[in-house]
Amino acid sequence: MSASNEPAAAAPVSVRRAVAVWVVLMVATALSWWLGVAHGAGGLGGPLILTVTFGKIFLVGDHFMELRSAARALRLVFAGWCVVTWAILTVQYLGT
Amino acid sequence: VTDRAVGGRDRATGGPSSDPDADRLLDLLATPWVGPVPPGGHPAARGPRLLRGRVPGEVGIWIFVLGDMLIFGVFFVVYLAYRAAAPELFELSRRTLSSTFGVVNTLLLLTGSLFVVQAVHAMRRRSEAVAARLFLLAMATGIVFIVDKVFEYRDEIAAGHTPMTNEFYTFYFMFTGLHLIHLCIALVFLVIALRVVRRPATTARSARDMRTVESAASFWHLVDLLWIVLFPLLYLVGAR
Repeated sequence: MSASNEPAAAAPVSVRRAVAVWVVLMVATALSWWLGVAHGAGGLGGPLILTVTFGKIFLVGDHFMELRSAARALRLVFAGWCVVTWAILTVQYLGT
Repeated sequence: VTDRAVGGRDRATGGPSSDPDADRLLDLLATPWVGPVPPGGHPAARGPRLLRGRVPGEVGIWIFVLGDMLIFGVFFVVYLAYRAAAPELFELSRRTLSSTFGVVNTLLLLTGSLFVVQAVHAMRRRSEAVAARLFLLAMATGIVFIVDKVFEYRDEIAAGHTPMTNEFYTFYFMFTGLHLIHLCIALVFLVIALRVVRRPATTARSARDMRTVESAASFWHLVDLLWIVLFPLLYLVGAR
């Protein structure tokens, strides 16, 4: 296979890494839940949970949806949505 | 310029237009990750840097996925705006929800996502039997999610909470209901993927098959990621 065919040959996702990401996502979910239930997510709890949430979404996009190895434009649009939505929701939350 | 169809193809002739970047993009979009490499190399390795690379699944699925993310993004903003107008009502109503249902459902979808990732990987390795089993496991997580949701709705309605009770419950039932419809569509996608995987493989798995499976996987992950936002937004994030 020639060099120009490389993207077609490389495995876009490693299963071992996907399992590691899954563990991180499960732990982050449990932590957010604990934070929301035990502490009512008041004060900085809300923005913290929102930040963890959009971090999780970026991980899902990058590793599960294979955007890490996708066309850069696709990855940028996805990451852009994460950042913009996170920022608007956080500003809205802090403003109320 | 007015004769030009979307994407750079010449409308009159159907042939390549004078815009090489647009043609390269079309080539890229039309060429899958696996399968025979067209002469001149895979388009994923050519073209402008930003567009170089692959698209997991059909381009149409990605237009839907990104459009849906945008629409739900607007929903989230509208929800917080309404909440800002009646923080006490929203906070009191939020506290009546069972976050246990919410967190269990989040863990279920995340686990389903891992199965889907592993299934796509198994498919690439040509381990069709493994891929089929993993798709069935992913579907099981989705079905348990739906059963959970039925019990959750039953509890809410038994407690006298309906979409008409107040604005919070209107949002709650509307968002979770829309998400449930998405999940049902994702399950149909997984059934299609399962049929593709179970189809007796001839000499080579066609690129089209792989793309169908990747499209189904991308849609499943969309349903997962929407729930990842809905859960904290509706169940966890309290009044400041």
